[in-house]
Amino acid sequence: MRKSWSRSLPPISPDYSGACSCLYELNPLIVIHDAAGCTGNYTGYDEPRWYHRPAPVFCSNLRELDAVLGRDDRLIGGIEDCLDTIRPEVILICGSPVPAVIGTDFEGIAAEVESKTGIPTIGLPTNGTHLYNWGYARCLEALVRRALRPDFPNSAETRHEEANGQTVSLFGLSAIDGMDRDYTDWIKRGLAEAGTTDICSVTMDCAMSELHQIARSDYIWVFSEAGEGAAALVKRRQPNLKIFHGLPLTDKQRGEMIRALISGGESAPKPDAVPAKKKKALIVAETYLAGSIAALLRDRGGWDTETVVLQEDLGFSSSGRVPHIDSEDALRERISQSDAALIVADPLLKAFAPAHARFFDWPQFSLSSHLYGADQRSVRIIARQFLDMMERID
Amino acid sequence: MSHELDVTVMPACLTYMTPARGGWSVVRRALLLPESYLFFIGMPACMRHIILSSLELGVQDRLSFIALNDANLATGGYEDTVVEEIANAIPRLGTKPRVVRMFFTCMDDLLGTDHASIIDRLHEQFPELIFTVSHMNPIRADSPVPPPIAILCDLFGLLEKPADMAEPGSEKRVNFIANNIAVPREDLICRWLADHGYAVQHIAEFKTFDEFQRMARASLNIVVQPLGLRAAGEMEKRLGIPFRYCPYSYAETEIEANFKKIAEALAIDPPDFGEIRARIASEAKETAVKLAGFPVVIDYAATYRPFSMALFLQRSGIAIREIYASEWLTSEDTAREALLAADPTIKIIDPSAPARIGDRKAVPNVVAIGFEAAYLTGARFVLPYCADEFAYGYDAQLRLLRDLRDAVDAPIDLERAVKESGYTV
Repeated sequence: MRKSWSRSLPPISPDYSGACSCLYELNPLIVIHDAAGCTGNYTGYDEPRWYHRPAPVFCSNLRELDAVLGRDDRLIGGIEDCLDTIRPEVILICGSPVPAVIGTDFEGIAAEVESKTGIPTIGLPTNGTHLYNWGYARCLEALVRRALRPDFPNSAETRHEEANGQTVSLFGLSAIDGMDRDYTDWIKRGLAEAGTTDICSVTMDCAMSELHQIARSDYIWVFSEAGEGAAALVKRRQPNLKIFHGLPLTDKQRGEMIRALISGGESAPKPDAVPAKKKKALIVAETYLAGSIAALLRDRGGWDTETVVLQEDLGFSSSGRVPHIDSEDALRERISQSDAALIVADPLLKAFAPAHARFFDWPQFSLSSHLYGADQRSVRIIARQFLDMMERID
Repeated sequence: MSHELDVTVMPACLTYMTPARGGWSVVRRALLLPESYLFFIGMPACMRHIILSSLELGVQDRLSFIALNDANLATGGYEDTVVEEIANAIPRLGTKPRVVRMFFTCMDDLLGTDHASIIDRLHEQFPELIFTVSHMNPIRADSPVPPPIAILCDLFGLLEKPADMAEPGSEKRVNFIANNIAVPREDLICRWLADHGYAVQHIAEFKTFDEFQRMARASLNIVVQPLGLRAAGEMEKRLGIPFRYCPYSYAETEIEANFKKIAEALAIDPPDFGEIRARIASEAKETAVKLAGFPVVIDYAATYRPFSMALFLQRSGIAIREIYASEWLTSEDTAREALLAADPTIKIIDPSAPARIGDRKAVPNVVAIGFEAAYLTGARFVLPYCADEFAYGYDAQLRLLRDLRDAVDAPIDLERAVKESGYTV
């Protein structure tokens, strides 16, 4: 959805929304360097937690003269003024299209803010052309780099505890992708039942003071493609680290994935092929989510699946990524020409579906925001509704 | 008239936007023009709230977007992209428009785009269509022509001077300018003008572009919001239509002065206010009784005149608790001083200040006028007003009193109401 004319679909959530979403629960101060609309995009349409659990996300009120004259000092001064009332543990400053045009140096601004305030500060050159998964990935990588630094708070404690038990860090838990605190609790409960209680959920229901645990992780469990880059960073430092990939949607999938994780596997075991008459399903979803929906169908037997991904290709291969579709015309053609008997996709894509296909509404916040209730239901709840529907039609 | 736009601004650094922030977007205002189609042009990110809000409003068939990318910006090839994409798109639109409006976003201000060339190239291919350029550029919010003012100039700039137009004063038509929703026809001002033979015209009421051109034939433009002053000035120069600034108001002296200005301009007698004044006095007493124990909070998205509105309610015996405003017209200063002199406990709070992030309250029994005041006080009783556009003059006083009484009988789900309102940042 990133190129040329789009007639009916909104663009996918942009990069700055992914970056903001990544740090949202870490007691942050987040500044989007824009005039108003980009912040309104994020708070109005890209942050499901905004209404009931607002975090300090502010607009820098960028004006034309600021851009022409390069008045970065106004942005820095605004952040300093804020600290009279906000006590953040981390600061994020991210960009929008205008700063991209004038070449704003976000890393430099972040360094200056950090030196003035003493608060860890991340500057990201988001520009509104990338997608949310890119922004989330870059922000998580910046956060993890910082957590791995020897001067990160509590890192001495980390070294002291290094020999104790097993630690699992959860990467890529993303509110925009339908993972919420209930979902995170459910994952933690599953791990606890399997004997692992030392869990760092990093971007969801977590505190900055817990992030030192990343450095002593034995396992990293990655829940979306946007978490893969950060996991690779940790692996580079700790070659013995085991990285597991998968987004469980049901108790059964969770159990299988936890068993596979503890046994050192990299993803959930695939079920044995069921020789049967195969029907085809087309799934339009984030690559991990699509994989898990496909697994649900394979479990039921008799289904072949194809995947369409709208999220930006981040260059990782572990999830068996298919190339993403980035124009509305191409997406319309791909769906309308499909011979699939079942299409699982956001309700906004129903208009493209051929008449012969059954369509299951799987609202995705990154596309339709709150229009179809994706802000009210986690992926687990939608998966339950999906399985109920499959019970009725199979 | 520029002093009418003067504002007092609260000290600000970074801006907090509550989940209830919003109003009529540039998009929604632009769509008031009948038989027009809008192409938004810029980075894809800028288009997300536009398209999603158009889906919420059910107007998605009247607009779409052309996403630019780093490559065609870096090479300057985006002007060709815009022409090619629009030329390809026009034959595929469901309903053929009369006017194609191109909206460029903030970064266009820094690019030096040759808009005239884009219009010429498109006009060569589609000579039957009118092509125009507008901007959705909040980066110019502090300029003399910020987007809400520019959009009105662009809209009314499409009126053509009729070749056979008689003297402006001979036309028995009056335009209302700058409001997004027409003043209710049952309001005194419309009945009074109709009684004197004047047809009242508002852009939202025309179904075709040709019908919209009737606004070029008018004896007077009544400007009801300060945002419309520039457009009205341009119409006066270009079309010869005089204007009077007669803003929405809640102050008796100003309401009657507004009617007097219109009466003088049209050389008619002002209306008799006796009956409506008596009804307001009676309903004010009834409302004060019903709202005993229900303090009122007001925000500046609901009204450009928060202090005048509050002063009217206070003088009607209704308790005012807080006014939420980041800025206000300096013409409101007198009402503000009178309000605070009568009750120094009333607080004026900046809803955009970063401190508001942790400042959401749960005030018992509070009645909010405006969504943002409702969010920040936890109000369940809410008047979902936006920019005063519910009634005019004494009818606004009357409607406000009635709506307050109704509101305390009907608590709302604020989150749902905000999301369904279609108001955006």
